[in-house]
Amino acid sequence: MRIVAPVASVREVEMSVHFGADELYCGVSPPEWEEHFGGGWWINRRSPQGANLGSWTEIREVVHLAHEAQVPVHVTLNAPYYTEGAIRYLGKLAQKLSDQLGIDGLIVSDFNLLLTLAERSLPVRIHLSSLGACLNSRAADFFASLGVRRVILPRQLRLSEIRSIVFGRSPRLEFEVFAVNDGCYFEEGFCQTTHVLGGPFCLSDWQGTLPGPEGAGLAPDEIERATEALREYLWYQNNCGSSFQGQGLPNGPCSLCWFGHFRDWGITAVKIVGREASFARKMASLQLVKAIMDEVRTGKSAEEIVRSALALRGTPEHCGKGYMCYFRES
Amino acid sequence: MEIALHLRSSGQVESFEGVPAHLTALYGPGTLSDIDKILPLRVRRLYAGDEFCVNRMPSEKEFEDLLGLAGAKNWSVSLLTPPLTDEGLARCLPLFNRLRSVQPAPEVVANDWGVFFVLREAYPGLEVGLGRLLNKGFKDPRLPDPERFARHSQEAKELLNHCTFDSPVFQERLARLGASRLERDLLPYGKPRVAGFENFGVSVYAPFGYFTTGRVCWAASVHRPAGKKFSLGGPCDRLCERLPVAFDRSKSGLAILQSGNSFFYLYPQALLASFLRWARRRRVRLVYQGLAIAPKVGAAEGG
Repeated sequence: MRIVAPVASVREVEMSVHFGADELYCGVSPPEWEEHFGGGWWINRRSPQGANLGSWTEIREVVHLAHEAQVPVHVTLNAPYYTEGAIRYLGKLAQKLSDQLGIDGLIVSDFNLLLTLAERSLPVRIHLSSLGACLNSRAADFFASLGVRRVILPRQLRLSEIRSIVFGRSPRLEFEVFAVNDGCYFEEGFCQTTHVLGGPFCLSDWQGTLPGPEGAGLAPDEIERATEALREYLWYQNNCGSSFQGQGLPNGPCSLCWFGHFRDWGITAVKIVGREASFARKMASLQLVKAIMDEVRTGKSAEEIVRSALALRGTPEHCGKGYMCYFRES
Repeated sequence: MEIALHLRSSGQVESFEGVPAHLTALYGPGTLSDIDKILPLRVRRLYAGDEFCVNRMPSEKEFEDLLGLAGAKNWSVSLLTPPLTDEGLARCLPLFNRLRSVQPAPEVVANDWGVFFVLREAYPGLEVGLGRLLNKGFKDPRLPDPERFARHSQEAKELLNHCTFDSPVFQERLARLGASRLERDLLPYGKPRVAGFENFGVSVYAPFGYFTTGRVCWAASVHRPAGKKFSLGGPCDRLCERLPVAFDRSKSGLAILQSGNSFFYLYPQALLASFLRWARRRRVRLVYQGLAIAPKVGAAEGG
């Protein structure tokens, strides 16, 4: 099982590789995107500032450094939707990224972009972004038929559902699951909001749409308690308020406990989320994931991995809550 | 224009006084004054099921009641389906099995590619439409100044007016795959008309467009114990169907609301009225969802 780590600058590459990244992923935001499409519309799911490489020189250098260490680089083109004009541009960009800059894969979510790239038969791997919302094994088969080599599974799956998809898969398909950071209240693949407008909608103030108890047979304080629980849940999704535990490891959503199961089921890779995170958070996340991965690679049982992950986290008050786990059973 | 009515239960029609009356209750008296003249009065089709949540799919008994209503009213039937896991898909198979014996023109709306392929391969007698969750576009209700945004470039304008299903590449592929219908919302900052598709029927939902959804559900969590809240699956008492909706006002001025696990914008009244006038003599199906999303409704202060 491989560790996929984010980078947002050249300086992050060497450290990421040193601390155990087996694959890197990054975003790009070439200057002509903003000139043509405007700053109110991002080329991928994350902000151009801090989350994306901004020049051809930077992209070339990231690929060069990673390839020196035999680490592949995948580029995200995963906005929820692109116009036809944007897809024409991205088709050319993808060609340039693969032919001239030597990237190894593209992470794609928009269905029309996927069709366009499939027709081009680029010499790179196509990974379906979690925004592709592949929730069942038949959908996985369909994406494989479009040339997708790896499906990045969405956050909103239960463990048993992940297992069902992986076991029912097309044999040539790989799967990647989220490892740590950045929860999401909604299913990204069906969320048609943008983080450009004041951050994630789920973390903004939408509690005006919470209904009152009238007519629903609820006690007056039930809505209040449920709303308080929602605030707490969102705090956990937001990396526990972007906090760190006592040893400097990042708090936040994770699936470390299940790495043993993932290995046993044949999952190909686990992904560290957060291209726009600080360098410190990225490196601490990588250390956290690598420590558990080392145990997975020694052949420890799935049950032993659970114990190791809980001990390494060292935050029983958070782990016991259940809200930090990406993939919970009901 | 064909009118379809989305219902959660057969009993909902008992107090239903028609789409114009429900719209008037929603937008406030006098705001859609000529609505009676625009809308055909006769409903032709029933929509059952749900495109957002497997827990809102009807039980076999509830589905039978809805089919009985459709038969009595001489309505055709469409079954909405949400994005589904393998387990959720298995739960829906009895509904598909029952639907294929219903006449005329039984139809399923798939909001998931896996569901679409199961239906195409195992249920050749059912027409299969693609639902609005697979139709992506710009819907964030927080855009403060759409006109300014659109002035930036032709591309920005296109972003506010186009969606996945508008693409010729998409349509060509879906025609080959055997989809019969494409379903969509009116985009909140877009034009009040939709593209005609040569090879597909077109449905437009009203009076709400959806803008986000997920499997985590606040309403389903209300009665769950601590630690089990906000988890996927598990028991659900469908509280969402009993809660009154609450409208809030977004930064762009759109009235927004949540129903169960999903969030919606109410079409601005000018957008809805323009669309209805445009669609009146066109081959468009209007899927009226006022009862399904907001059965207990008060006026949204002018939409």
